[in-house]
Amino acid sequence: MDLDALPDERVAPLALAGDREAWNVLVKRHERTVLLRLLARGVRVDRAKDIVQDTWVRLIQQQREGRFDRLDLPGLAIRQALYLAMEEGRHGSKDVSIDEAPEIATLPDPHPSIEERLSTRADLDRAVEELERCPPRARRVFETVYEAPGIPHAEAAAKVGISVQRLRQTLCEVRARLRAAMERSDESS
Amino acid sequence: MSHPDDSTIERFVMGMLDDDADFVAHVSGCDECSRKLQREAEVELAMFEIRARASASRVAEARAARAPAPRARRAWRVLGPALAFAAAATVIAWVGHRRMRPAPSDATAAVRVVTCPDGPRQLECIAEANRSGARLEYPKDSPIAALGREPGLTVHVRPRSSDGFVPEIDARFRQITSDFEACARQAIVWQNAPLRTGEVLLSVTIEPDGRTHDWRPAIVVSQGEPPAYVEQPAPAFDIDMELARCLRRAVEAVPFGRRDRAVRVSLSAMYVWRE
Repeated sequence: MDLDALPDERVAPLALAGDREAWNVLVKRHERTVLLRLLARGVRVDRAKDIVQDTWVRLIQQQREGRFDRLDLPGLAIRQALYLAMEEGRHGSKDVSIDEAPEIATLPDPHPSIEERLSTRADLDRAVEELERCPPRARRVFETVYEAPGIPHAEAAAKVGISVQRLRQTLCEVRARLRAAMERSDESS
Repeated sequence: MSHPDDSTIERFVMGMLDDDADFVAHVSGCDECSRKLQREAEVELAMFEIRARASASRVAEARAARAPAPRARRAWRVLGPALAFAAAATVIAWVGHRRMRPAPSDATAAVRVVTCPDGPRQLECIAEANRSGARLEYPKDSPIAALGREPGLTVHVRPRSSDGFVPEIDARFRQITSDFEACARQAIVWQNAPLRTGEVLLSVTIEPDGRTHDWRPAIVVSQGEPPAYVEQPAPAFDIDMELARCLRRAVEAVPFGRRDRAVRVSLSAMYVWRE
């Protein structure tokens, strides 16, 4: 069975049952999102990378101990990572898990604060409008890559039918246009 | 390593930097580069949001082209201060709306519509409607509308003031154990921000058979006391899939015996944007 081709809803139960390969797939899909969330919160990049690693180790350990009845990713990983970052900042140690601190399960996802700071409705609307003005193939590249976190560029390129290099170049061009659209609204507000 | 250029920082957050050891070593000890990286990470996360919005926008346009839903639009116009207690994430609303309410189409137009008034035969009526494939409709102008005011299960969450999170609400939430309220709690924790102009509010009624109607989304236009609201068509709303899934699971988990009357759900808003 090709786990890479399965959606999270199918892979997560396998990971819950202890399937190592399923865990690998989930980590590969979501580790960048977790890292980005930490970075967007202002966590230093070296610490953020360590915390991301610790996060997955702890989640897998807790799964083996039967602590989870379901895996909602990347939310669960983000909350664990955020908690580790908070604990490290507070006590100089991140040696805390969901098992020891069940409130992690209800910790805030950092997403709202990011949106509040950057992705306001007006900013996003402007960026969406800009996206609609992009050439169809460029839009397809963007939408394929950002459809879900963790999709490899090689896979996205194959879907669109272009080379990885071309995909990345197009992606950077579209991203620059969208970013400029958002920053224009930042400046006007 | 000298300061990485903007392009290198961008490639790092996009996952395009194959060997990032030097980059990490420099940025970890550089305040200026760390700030740039933080900003770039925010931009990268925004790209996913833009992608989702673009997709949702096309879906909404396609839906609007198929069915203008004049009855629903009229309902928006009568909304207002009554929504002061009725609030929820836009996000939840629109996803739930799409999943739980039959999509308007030529096919549904031919489906028989029945109403099942309150009373001893209500469940039987609903069961028969389900068996025959009829669509249940809530009789808004009949006495059954009182169900919205005296439902089988009501969740009113109004935990925030203009100063932000209201401390006593936390204690209140600790007494709540059902999955549904856990979602509400999560929403509030996520929010943890003052009520503000541009915030989206919503209430919805869930019928005993799980169908929904009477969606009442609105946007805060004034932060006065009480706040003022303006109704908004649902397609303007955003989606938070994780919370929507949580909410839906919780609604489905309510035992049928407790869903023998319409359920009026009102949650505090948790999704905020700046005007």
